[in-house]
Amino acid sequence: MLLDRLKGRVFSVTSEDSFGEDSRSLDHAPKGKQVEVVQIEENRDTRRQLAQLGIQPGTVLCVRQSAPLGGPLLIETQGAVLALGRALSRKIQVRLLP
Amino acid sequence: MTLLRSSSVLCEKDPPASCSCAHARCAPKSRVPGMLRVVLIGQPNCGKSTLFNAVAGYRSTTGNFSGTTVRLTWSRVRINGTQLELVDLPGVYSLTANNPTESTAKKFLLSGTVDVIVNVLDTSLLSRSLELTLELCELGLPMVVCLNMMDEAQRKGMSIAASKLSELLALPVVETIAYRGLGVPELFRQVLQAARHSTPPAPVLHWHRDVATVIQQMELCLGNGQPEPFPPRSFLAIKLLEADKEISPAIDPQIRAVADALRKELEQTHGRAAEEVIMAERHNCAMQLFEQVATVGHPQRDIRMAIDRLLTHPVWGYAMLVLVLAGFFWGVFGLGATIEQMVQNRLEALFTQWGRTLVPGSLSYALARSFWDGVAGGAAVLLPYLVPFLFGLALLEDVGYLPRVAYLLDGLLHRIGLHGTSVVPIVLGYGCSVPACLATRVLPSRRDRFLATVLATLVPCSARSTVIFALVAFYLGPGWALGIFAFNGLVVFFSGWWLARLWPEVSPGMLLEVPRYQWPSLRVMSKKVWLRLREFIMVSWPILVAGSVVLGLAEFWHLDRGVNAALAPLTGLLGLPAAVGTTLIFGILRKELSLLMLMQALGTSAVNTVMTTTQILVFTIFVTFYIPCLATIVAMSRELGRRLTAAAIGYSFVLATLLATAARFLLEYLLR
Repeated sequence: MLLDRLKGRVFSVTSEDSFGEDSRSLDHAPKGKQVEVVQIEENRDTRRQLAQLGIQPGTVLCVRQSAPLGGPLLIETQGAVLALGRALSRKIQVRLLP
Repeated sequence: MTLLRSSSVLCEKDPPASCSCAHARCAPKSRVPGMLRVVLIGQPNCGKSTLFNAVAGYRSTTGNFSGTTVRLTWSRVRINGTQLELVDLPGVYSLTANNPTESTAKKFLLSGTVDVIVNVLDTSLLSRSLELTLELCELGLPMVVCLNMMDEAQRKGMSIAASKLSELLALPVVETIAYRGLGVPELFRQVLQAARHSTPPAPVLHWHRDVATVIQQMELCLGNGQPEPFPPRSFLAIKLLEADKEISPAIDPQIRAVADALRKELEQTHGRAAEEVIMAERHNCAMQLFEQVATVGHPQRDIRMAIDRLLTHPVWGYAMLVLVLAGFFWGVFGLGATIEQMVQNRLEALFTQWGRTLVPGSLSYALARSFWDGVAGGAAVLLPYLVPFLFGLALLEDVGYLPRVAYLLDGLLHRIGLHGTSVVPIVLGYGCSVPACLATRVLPSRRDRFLATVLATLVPCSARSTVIFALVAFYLGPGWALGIFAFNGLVVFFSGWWLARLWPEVSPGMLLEVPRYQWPSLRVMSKKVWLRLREFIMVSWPILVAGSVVLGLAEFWHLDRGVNAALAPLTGLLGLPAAVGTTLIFGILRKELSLLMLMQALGTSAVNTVMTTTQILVFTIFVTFYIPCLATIVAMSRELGRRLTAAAIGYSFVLATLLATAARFLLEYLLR
C-alpha cells in the first residue's frame, strides 16, 4: 500500500517533468519556498477564478501549510493567503525559484 | 439606440429587495429623484460593511470572512446636510461574476442608477485590489478610491503614497481605517465633491497595441459616433471580448459574431484565451501602479503568524479545533444553566404570588398561566443560552476562524463529495438557518448550493441548540447534550455523503481566501449580537407568547385532543406522550416553541418528572432534524425553488422519523 503510494508519487513527478528541470505540480512544491506559476491546466472558469485571486502564469507564490488526508494547501501570494483544494493544486505547474 | 436587447438581463426583475430579514432593508427598485445614490464596492472582506456601518449604524452584518454580505443593504444617510442613499454591495473580485452573490453586485452596478462609486480596497492587498479599480474605471462613473485597512498595511511594513496614486489614477484617493472611523468624514466629503463635479474617470489602463486595436474595432462595431450608452462602449467591448456570460447573450447576434471573430484573432496572436490576455494586461498594469506608489519595508513582528501556524497545523490544528468547539459548548452551557436556574425559580415564585387571586381551572387562570409561561419561557429558558451562544458565534466569525475551519475540514468533506467552502454556510447554520441558506450563494454550482442548504438546515440552529441545552443538558446532564451534538454531526456527514452520491458532479475544488485574524471588538460584537437578539425579542418572543396562549386556550376547551389524536401514529411510533403532538406542529412555526409548548402540554417545567430519559432524547432528536421552521422554508424556496425545497423538507422529515424511531428502540434496550 505504502509502496504503491510512493511509486505513484515518483511516477507523477517524472511524468510532469516536461516543463523543465525544476518544474513540478504545486502540491509537490516544498513548504516555505518561493515558486513561480508556469502553467495552469484547468478549464476556463477555474482559470479565471484563479486569476481573479492573483494566481496566473508568472505569479510568485509560497506554500505555507498543507492539510493532511489530501486536504487543501495554504498558499501565500501578493500578501493574501488562499486555501487551495489539493486536486486544483495538482493542475498548477510551478517552477522553483532560486 | 440601446445596445442591450433587454435591460432585464442587467436589472433583475425581482431584485433581492424583498429579503426576509426585517433588519436588512434592501435597495428599492426605483430611486428617489434627486437623491444621490452611492455604492460601496470592493473585493471580498475589504471592510465595505464596516465602512457602511460607520455611517449608517450597525445594519449590515460584518464578519471576518469572504462573503459575509451576500445581498444589497442600503440606508439613507445625511452627510454635511446632503441626504444620500448608501448601498453596501457584496464583494466581487472582478466584474466577471462567478456566483450569484457577485452577479447581484454586478447587476446593481450596471443598472444605470448609480451616481458615485466608492471603491473600497484592502490596502494590505493593494496590488491585487487595484485590478478591480482599473476595471471600475472603465465604467466612466464618478468614483472615489478608499484605501481601507491602512493600519494593516503599516503592520506589513508597507507605506503608500496616496497622493501619487491619486495622480496616476486621476481620482480622489482617501486613506481610512473604517473600524475606528478614521478618514470616513474625509471620504464622504470627497464623494459629495465627486458627485457635484461629476468628472468621469478616464481609463487608466494603456493596453498593448494589438489588444487596443481589437478593442477599438469592437467599439466601432458597437456604433461609434452615437451618444455614449451606459455601460460605455469601451466597457461592453472588453466584456464581449472576455465572453462575459451575462453581457454577451443580451447583445445583438450580429455584433456577437464580430466579437467571436475578434476574440479568435486575439487568441491566435497570444496563444491563450482572450479573457486571460485581458486579465494579464490588467494584472501587469496594477503591478506597475503598485510599484510606483508603494514601498515595502520590514513587516512588524506579528504574533498572529505564530497563532495561525498552530491553528492550521496538520496535527495541532485539529486538536485546537476540538478544543475550541468544546470550549464553546461548555461556555454556553455553563453560563446558560447557571442563569436559567437563577431566573426560573424567581419567575415561578413571582407567578405564585401574582396568580394567588386566580382560581385554578378557570378561563382567566388558563389565560394568565399560558401568557406567563410564554413570557417566562423566553426569559428563563431561551435567553440564558441564546445570548452566550450568539456571542460565541460572533467571536468565531469576527476573529476569522471560520475559513480556517473550512481549510481543516475540506479534505474530509471532499472525500464525501462536498465543497470545502460549504463549511462556512454549515457553520453559520448553527446560528440561524436563514442566513445560512443565503450564505450558500457564494458557492459556484447549483448542486453544491443544494447540498449545503440541506446540511445547513439539518445542523441545530441557535433555537434548536437552546432546546438541546435547556432540555437535555439541563435535565439529563451535559454529556448527553454533547452526545446529541456529536450524533447530529455524524448524521450531517453521512447525509452529505449520501446526497452527494444521488447527485454526482465533480466539485471544482476549494478556492477560498483566508483572511488575517482580527482582534475582536466587543463593541462590534455586542452590536451584532443585539441585531440578532432584537429579532428574537421582536419576532420570536411575541410568537412564543401568542403560541403559548393559543395552546393554553386549546387545552382549556380540549381542542388539542383532535390534533394529538391525528398525530398519535407518529407519537406512538416514537413512544412519546400523546400530548406532545401539538408541540410538534407549533415547532414548525418557531423551533423554540417546541420546548415551551412541551412544558405547557405536559403541565410542568420539570420535564424529567413526566418523561423518561429515552423520551426526552427521542423528542430532542426528532425536533433537531424534522421540518425546518417557516422562515427557513421561505428562504430555502427563494434560493432553491419549490421542487428542491419540497425535496429537502421531505428528506428532513423522513430522516427525523427514522432516526428518532431507531433511537427509541436502541435507547429502550440500552437503558432498560
